[in-house]
Amino acid sequence: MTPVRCSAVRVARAVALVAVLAGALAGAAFAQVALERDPAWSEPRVGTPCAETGAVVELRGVGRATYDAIRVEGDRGRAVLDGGVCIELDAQEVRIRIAHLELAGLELAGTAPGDAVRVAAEDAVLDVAAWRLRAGSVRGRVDALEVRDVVLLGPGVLAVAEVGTLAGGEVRLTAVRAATDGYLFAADTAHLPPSGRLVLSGVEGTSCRDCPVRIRFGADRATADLDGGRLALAAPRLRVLGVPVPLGERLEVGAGVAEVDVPFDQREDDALGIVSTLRLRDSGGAELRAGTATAPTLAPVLRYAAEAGGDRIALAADAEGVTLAVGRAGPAAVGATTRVEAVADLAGADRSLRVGPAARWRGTSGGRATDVTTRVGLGVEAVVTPRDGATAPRAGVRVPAYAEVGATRDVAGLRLSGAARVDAQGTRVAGGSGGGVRAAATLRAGVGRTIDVGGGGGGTLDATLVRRWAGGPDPFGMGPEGATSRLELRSDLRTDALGSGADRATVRLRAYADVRLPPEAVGTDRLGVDAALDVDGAALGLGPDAESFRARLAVRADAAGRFGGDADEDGWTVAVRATWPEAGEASLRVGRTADAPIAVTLAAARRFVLRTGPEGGRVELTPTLGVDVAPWLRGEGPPRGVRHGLRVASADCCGRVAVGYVAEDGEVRVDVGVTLPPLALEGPPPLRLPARIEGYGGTP
Amino acid sequence: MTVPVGPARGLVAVAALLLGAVVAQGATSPSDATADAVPASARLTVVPDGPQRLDLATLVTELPEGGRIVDAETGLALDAERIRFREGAFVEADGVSAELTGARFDAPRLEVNLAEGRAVAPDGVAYVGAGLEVSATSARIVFEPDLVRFDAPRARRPDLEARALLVDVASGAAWLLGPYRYAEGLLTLRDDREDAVLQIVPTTTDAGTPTYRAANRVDDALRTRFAPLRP
Repeated sequence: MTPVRCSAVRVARAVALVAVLAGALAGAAFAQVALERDPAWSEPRVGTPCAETGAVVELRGVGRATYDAIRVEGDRGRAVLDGGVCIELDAQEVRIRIAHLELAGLELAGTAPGDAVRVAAEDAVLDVAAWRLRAGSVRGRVDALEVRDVVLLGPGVLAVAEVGTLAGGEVRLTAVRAATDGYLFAADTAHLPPSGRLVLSGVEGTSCRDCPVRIRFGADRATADLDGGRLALAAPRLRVLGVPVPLGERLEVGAGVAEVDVPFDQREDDALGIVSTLRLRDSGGAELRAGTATAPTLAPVLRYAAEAGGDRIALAADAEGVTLAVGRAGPAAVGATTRVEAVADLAGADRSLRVGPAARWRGTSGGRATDVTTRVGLGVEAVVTPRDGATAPRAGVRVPAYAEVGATRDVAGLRLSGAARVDAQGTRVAGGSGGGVRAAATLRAGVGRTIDVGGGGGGTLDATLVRRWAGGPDPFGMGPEGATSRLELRSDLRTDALGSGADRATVRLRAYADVRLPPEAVGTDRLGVDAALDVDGAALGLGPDAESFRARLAVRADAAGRFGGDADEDGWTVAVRATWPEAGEASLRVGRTADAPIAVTLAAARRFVLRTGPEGGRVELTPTLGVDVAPWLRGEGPPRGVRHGLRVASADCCGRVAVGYVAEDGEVRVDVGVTLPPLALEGPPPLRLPARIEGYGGTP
Repeated sequence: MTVPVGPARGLVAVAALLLGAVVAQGATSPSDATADAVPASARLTVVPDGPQRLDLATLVTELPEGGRIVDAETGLALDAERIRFREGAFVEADGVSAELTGARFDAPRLEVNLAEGRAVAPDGVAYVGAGLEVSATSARIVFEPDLVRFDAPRARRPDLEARALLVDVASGAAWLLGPYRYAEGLLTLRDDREDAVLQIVPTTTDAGTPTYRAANRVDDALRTRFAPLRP
């Protein structure tokens, strides 16, 4: 058994164990709120001001009110308003609609100056910004009202609370239960400031309405956006199996939300392959990432960073080495930031210690259609390299610097951009044993356009011309061999091919080209195209029974080389994938990579329901298998297994917890997914970064 | 024919007195109008500040230098710079300061219809009644009960403006007819509707400080009482 297979088996065992635990989850019942929105609440429309005409009473320092009937008792400092009473308070941006209102403590002629005016009313409707509250009672000083038995109705949010206060135009409720179209919440407090955003503190929520709650999510603070009925969670977390899982700094839930910050990251690294990490953050801002890399397989990766008051410490450990960086922010002047940093490469091939200060300045300015950005940086580093075998220890000084000016401008529907950057680095090795100056200058000029292809489709087209000079040790005495010119083209188009709605097929086409330009024509050319057709069963005319069927035809081709000369294709892929939601998928992929023969891969995944419990709970097992049949087609041998995986999920109407792995081409990827309909934290998805472009950017 | 009446014309005055007593019951013709009140009848008591002129044709008496007239039937007592009256018919006075049931009216002109028990102050009026100080462009007074309608009233105590103000002189209860504005302490009540009514009733606090009770739901009894003043 190969190491890869050993690792895969271990992962599979762990996945199965977690799955069993997940299946045994016992959910605690979440306090259900049964609320219905009363259409009568919408009348009059929220924000409708009190009448300007008719019977009006103005209470100096209090506000104004309209009414059907009023009785002012000057001898008692009291006023009683009846019938369609509408009050607008001076002290608070609040409108109160009420059937009967008593005001006491009025400073009328003949009465001694009293305390603040006191209000007593039952069954009041209050408008605070764009929110509407119904309170069983409103009592207290007019500048600090107490409301009881409160129901709050806002865009997309309904909440109830037993008690609250209304002061300074702010509503504060305690022991709040709230509901949106998709979620139920319990919160310690709710705060409705004059800005109109509902802020919930100590929030815990669920999308479970019809079955015991197994998965909850919570946050220190949640803000309901007035515009879209969305809820933004600060410091969100999941509670799965009673274990809190942080979800990053911010999470939005609600209709149409796509901004989900999952705690899983997957990045592609030159040396480490695909790096998958779980991200944990504490409230102080420290962040820990732990995970694995694919090169070598399942190699551990650890990243830790903490920053406080300008002091920063970072530790990175992986197969490439261990790096510890400690920095402290220096004084700021003329808009520039300064920093002193020490970086120690403690392990690996390039052990060293670098210590020195650096200063950076960034300025932006903009007009009606032009934005200009300027960046300048300068540093000084002392570098020490320890003895390494036969190599003697060395010490030196390095001075890196850069300056860049860029501008963008919108002209006649086009976005024009240009940038100029100079990078330079001077090095002096102690003892006069070496050093010099290296420099590079880069010019960029680009034009972009957003296009509308009709039918809801659209896209972007961008073209950028890049010219770069690099050389040394004489900083700018560069010959042709140090100069390169390239043209970068990008396009991204998307359109609905077969109408909209259910009968929909979506076409997405992305293409790029990086082409060398004469006369130097240094480097390689890269071309790529990525086309996908998503179509559902109805659009294919498969009848109503195929409504849940969705298929994707994807074609991707990439090539790199010196076209027009010694062309050398980098690779290409053509793939067809059909998906049956809740059932499985099948795919055919034909492609090749550089220096490898054509592969024909057949892959399939099928979902099996192992156990169905009460209330719809179930445990699902989804194995994945893929084989390359190209050797068999060529008569070189039997099909070769290239992919295997297993995904185990515990699911019910309240959500799904799934763990799994996929091993493909020697790379193993672990996936963890949590789904709270319609809150989805699936991830991490397979990720491929854009093709790396060599020779641009960065210091020399 | 006008008959001068005065100390300088004693004989003529006596003759006129005798004639007046015969042809016009109640005509006032004091023998010494500058000194003593001479009741011409049971209703009006006239105290002239100067001469009196009696028009034998119309039986209208004129007090060109003013004087004082008290109507025993209505209780209206007025001092004026110039007065014309006919017993049982009318009193017209200029530069008037009148008192009625404890309230005082100051008006450039007051026209009293004795037969109908009404009076008008067409050229403006200043009124001081029970807790009420009002000026208005005109006023209409109804006697027994004593009611006043002020048009376009403005007052500083209490602070009010209205299309009209109806006042029950005896109780001080009043109606503001809309559009109106009424302010009391930190309260200001407004209504811009023509049919709006605000009733204010003077009262006192436990400490005896005068103030008002105000309501836009009015008493039926007051509605009936004010009926003669409503158009």
